Amino acid sequence: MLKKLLPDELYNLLTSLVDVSVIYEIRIRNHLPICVNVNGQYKIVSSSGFARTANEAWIANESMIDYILARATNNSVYSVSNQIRHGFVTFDSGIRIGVCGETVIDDKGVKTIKNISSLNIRVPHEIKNCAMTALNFILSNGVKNTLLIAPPGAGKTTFLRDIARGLSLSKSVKNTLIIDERYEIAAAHQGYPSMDVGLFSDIISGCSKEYGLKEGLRSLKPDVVICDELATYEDLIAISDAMSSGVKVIASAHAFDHIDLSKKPQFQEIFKKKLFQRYVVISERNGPGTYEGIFDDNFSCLFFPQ
Amino acid sequence: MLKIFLCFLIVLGSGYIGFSVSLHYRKREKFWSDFFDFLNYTKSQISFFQNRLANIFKDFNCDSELKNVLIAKYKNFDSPNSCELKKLSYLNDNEWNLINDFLDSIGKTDSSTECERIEAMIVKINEKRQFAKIELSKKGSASTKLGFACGLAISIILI
Repeated sequence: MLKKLLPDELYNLLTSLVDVSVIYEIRIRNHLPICVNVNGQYKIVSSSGFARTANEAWIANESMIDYILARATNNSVYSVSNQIRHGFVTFDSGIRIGVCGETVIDDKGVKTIKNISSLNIRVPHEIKNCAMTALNFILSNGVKNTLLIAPPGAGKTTFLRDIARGLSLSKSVKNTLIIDERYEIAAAHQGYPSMDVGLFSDIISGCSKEYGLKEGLRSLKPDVVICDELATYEDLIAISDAMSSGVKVIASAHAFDHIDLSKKPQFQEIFKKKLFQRYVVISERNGPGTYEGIFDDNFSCLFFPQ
Repeated sequence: MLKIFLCFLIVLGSGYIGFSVSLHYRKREKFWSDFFDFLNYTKSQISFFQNRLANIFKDFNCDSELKNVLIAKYKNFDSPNSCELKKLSYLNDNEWNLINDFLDSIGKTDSSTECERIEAMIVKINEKRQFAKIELSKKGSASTKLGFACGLAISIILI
């Protein structure tokens, strides 16, 4: 899919240097060197390979950014204007492009982003069975409400995707509702998931968690709800409502660990109420998806990696 | 005998010229009508479904040469400048540029702005469509008959 997105020259160079499957990120900044995250390590790209110094670097320009954006939006900015407002554009196969520039603001808030100066192209990876250890703890005596905690880029979405797949392989059929706000978990394209999210998953894409939970619970009657990146009070209220409706929730949040997360005021109430029975902490210490520990609702460690 | 054969050829030739002129007006009318429908279709696809332009261009069905224009534009979305567009003979330069500029500029803003632009274009194209209809009814249908009549008149003079 990167072939469709990147200028031919850049794509050909990257594929001559590394296998596309080990590319995690490509960072294009206007008038600055192009950087590629290969297997978790950032490398500067030169016009003939990887640069040793910044002087040799291939400098990105406006036309490259415009080209990538035109490809990403399929020349239809209106179809992703809501995403651009939130600072990203999703492309086929779950590739997410973070967009950075000047915000245009009106009475209702951010209207769009203009003069786009940098793009962060994040390539999703489907690593089957990566969450099996966590799944054993999530699925002990029924499904446990679980919060996956990790810093950005540590593999939260990949884990959630694998958990969704794992649930469908469990002994009893678990109708799973995936609320894919940013088209990352299932990477649905034209209504069909690009990623394997299991046999019994329904996917609502592009909507807020609040909407997805409210309408999804009514119409789809799920046993488990999976959603990414809990952040706001609204998200947590919606999650709390869903849990009190008898639905199990598996979600993720940005933080280094549960201690770090507890510093966020919106999560303190959640911790007090013990809404989640399992906390799975991962990091990218030894590469994305490194287990840092699995904890219960009292933060007693259930699993600590050697 | 030769004279009669020559007259027959003249009638046929001038009839053909008349028919070609008529076809020109018919094609113009068909093109503008289809473009008018295309704009309305695009507006509804953008405002309601927010479907992408490539899908809109691909899915719109018509039997005029507008379809070829849309296919060429659609192919260029996938790989820029891969498909060269040939100007349609029955459109003048201004009309051709108007269509090309519009198709190239569409899709760069949010849906409400796009719809406003399409509405403005619909007004312009509706004028062209109405004018093409009048032209067709006035000149189009008459030109075939006129062609044959001229051929006949020349033949009679010759005989």
